[in-house]
Amino acid sequence: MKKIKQRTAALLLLLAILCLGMGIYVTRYLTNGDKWAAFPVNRHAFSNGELTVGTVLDRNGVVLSDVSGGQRVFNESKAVRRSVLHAVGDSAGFIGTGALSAFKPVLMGYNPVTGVTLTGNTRIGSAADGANGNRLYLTLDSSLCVAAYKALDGRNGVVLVSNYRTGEILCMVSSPGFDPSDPPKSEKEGSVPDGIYINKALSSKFVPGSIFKLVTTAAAVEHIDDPDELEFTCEGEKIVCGEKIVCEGVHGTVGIEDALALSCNIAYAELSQILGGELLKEYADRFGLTSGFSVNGIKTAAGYFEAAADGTAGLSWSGIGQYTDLVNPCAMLRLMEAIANNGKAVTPRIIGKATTSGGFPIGLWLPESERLMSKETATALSDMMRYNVTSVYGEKNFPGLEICAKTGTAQVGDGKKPHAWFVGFLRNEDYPYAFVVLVENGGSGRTVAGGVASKVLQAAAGN
Amino acid sequence: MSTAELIRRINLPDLSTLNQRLDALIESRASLFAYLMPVFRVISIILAVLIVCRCIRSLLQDRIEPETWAYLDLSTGERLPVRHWENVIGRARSSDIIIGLPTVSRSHSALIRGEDGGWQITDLGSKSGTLLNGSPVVRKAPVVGGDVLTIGGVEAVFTPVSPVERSEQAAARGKPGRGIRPSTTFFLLTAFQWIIETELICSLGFSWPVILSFAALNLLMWIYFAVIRALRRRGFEAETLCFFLTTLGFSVAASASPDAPVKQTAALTAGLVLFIGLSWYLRDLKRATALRWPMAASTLALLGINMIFGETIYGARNWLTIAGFTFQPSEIVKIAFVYAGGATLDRLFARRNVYLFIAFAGACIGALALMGDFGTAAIFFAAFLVIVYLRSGDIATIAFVCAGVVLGGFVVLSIKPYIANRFAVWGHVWEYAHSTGYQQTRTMSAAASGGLVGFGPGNGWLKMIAAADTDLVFGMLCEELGLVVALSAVASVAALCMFTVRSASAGRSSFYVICACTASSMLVFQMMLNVFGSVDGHPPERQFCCKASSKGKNVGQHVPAVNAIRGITRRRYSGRFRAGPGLFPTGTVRHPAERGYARFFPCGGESP
Repeated sequence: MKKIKQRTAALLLLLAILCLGMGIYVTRYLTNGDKWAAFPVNRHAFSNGELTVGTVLDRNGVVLSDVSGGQRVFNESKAVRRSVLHAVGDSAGFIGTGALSAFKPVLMGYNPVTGVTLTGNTRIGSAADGANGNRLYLTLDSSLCVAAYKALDGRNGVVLVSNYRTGEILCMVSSPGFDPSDPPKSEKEGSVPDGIYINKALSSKFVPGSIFKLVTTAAAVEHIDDPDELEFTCEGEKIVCGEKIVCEGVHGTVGIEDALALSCNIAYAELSQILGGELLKEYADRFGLTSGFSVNGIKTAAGYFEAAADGTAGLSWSGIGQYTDLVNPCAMLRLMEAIANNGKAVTPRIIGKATTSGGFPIGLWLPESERLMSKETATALSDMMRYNVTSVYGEKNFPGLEICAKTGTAQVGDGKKPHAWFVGFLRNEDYPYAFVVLVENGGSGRTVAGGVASKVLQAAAGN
Repeated sequence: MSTAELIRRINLPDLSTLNQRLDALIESRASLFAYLMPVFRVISIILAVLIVCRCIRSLLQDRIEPETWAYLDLSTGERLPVRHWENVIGRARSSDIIIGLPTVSRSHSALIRGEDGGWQITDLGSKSGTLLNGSPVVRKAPVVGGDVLTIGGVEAVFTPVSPVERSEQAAARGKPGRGIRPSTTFFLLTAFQWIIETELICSLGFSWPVILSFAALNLLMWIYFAVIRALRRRGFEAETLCFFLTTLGFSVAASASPDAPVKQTAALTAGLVLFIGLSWYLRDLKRATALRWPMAASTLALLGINMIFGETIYGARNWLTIAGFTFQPSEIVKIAFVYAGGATLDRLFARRNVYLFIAFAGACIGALALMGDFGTAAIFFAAFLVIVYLRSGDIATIAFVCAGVVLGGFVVLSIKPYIANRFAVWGHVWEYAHSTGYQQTRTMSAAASGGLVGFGPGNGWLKMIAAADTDLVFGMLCEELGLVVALSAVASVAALCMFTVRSASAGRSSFYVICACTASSMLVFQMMLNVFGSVDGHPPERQFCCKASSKGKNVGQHVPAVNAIRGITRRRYSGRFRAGPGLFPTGTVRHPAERGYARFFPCGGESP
């Protein structure tokens, strides 16, 4: 009998496997349960792949997307729908960075203890009336987004505005887009325009052009003993290392301040040679332009900067913002925030708060910040950017705004018009806004992008 | 007559208006119920945890107190107690009666007590042989008090313990302290059942089948309780766990199909009846062992009929329809398999018996594989390994068998590449969410939605996936009743298994122990298939295990399982209650309603 008894311990082996398996399952449940529940086949929150619980609102409580009659609906105004499209997302989830896709667990109200039982659709098959799910308040101001969308006037591009003290993104418009209430049927090849599902503010990178000169300037300020002593002579064009560098105009002898204000390519070509490729790359990296960061969990695209060899034309162009340089608009925004905020960048965020459908607050999203540069450098750049406006761009173009900015006209080759950039911030404590405006293939940074920026910022400051 | 017809016949015309009025009543109170639901959920979870914990604690608390059945007085002056009905005398440390002399073989002889109180001595092929009163024992011989056994040159006088002395021993042992009252657990379980029933009504609407079936479940449970108490038995934790699992099975089945409750009740009743019947019949060891050969023969015959006449459902040709009821013969085969595998101690040591059993098992598994029911085949194989190990303890035999299976596995995989595909999506089912990984992804998604508390019985969507109430039961439990309840179900099965192991020493015969272990391993392995098959990391159980659904009649699939599990504990309760005649003799309580369990896990012998 004892022999048999000893052998029954083999059963314990089987039991151990069962317990191990259950342990693994429970662990996976705790770590991945939100992804499992957010899978679009889950009928407690989805219908035909569409998220049928949860409301998305802007910072002022304007409903951007809701559920009605068991279907997802969007704001009544087409302008609002189009302008916040990429931030909110579409029903089908093609816009992967939209709130409806990226923040599903929040909208569904998932947590490991109650799952979706408190906020999901319990009665399967009956129409959900939007009373289910949570209310997600984005940091966007929908009226500002509308202003930006209208200012873009059908052109492709990006408009970003954020509060550089808190990191809240007040405006994030990407174009081209579509009307989420009437999404394109993608049956025919080519019937759907390129890029309508991409939020270019977060997921794309572009040739920066002259806005990159801010990085070069920062490197100069920190590494050259007396940057004010620097002098460059611009005669419209110059041969540097066997290649012709062309400038917008003939600027004569300029110091660094004027070089930046006038966006003198010759000056910056020389400056790049002085600083060297490695140093420029170091600054591009440090300012976060070559790596992605996280906007409430949504990863931004990483830009690109290649340290060209000393003495090459490529090095000159790279400091000017051409060559192989690429930047992501949101990364640029973060840099503007840093310059405006004494060197400390508060990470841009899009989620303001979330509450249950009854108004009970849930979740916690705390601002994060990172120091990108010293206070002195930030002040120096800030002053120079102010000087840009007062001396060259013209205050009258931006009435009532104490604006600091830099233009960019990025050549993209292929016979296409250059990208128009206008980046900067307001020095006004009542309106502590940083902004990035990009009009793809728009032409002149100052007139085209600057024009859009002016309208948007007027709207922002007017609020 | 189909069930629908049956229901219609019973349903008197008045009832339909009553139904409507009750439905309307429920609808009008919808908001009230919406507030009550979370309360119900929390209460039901607390109850489930309490029930399982109480049962586990009670099962583990019980001390197995050794009884002495006889004495061997050695010529050396030692008095060795004989503590079991089946005892191995030998030099090995695993022997029950150890005589540590070099002249004694490792397993020298077996001293076995029969039902009637008579003892036998069997020589187990020892070197020096066994002498009874001077004459050599050829195979086996009866032993009475006063006989002198000579083992390896040592003389031992055999003295059985008289019944009078045994009751003195029992009195001296003292009353067993029982801190956990089983009746309280039963009350908790009843409350749990009422809550589940109420939630089902709230979510599915008013339904006579649900009400009546739960009423039947309650009734059967309490009748069983009354009978047990009448027989002065005090502990029935294992049955409580089974009723608990049955309740979960009822909940899942009712949620998935409106017809199910009626069939569940029928199956439960049949299961209990079979349980009681088998309990009584098999308490006699001679009868039990005599049954093995006929069982084995009829098993093979049944499988043969199935192969020829069987219907193919969900890819497995493992269904038979008799008189309107569709069932899976493999369920009956399981019973036979458990009993065919058992053996009394004297038979254990004969190699020939093991080989015969291997051949029988090979035929069963092979037949199942040919019919396409790989899931059941796998369960049989697991049980088979357990039996072979228990009977022979021989790693070599096991290794040999495993090698054969691996080879067979390769053959199968090459013939049926879709099975290989299932293994291929291991670990990344989400990438194949709409094809091979369909069931697993749906299960995990629904299960995660339920969180720890669940949406409530009837309120899930996983039930709408094909074969959910059988293959994806674990997922349905997580979604509707919550992860806590699902884990407590797993814990119940684990507890039953632990109970088997702990009680093994108390078994009167290795026959019962082996049967119990086989049954336990089938339960555990089947549960593993169900759980792991429906979540990531393992191929879905779908094509793999037998498909069962909510119709048809399950014929005591796990009755023998728990039957056997309980069977080995006959002796344990002998101190707790008086030996009673009749239906429930000392402690041979077999498990009821593995029916419910069968409903709960697949291979429930029903047709889609």
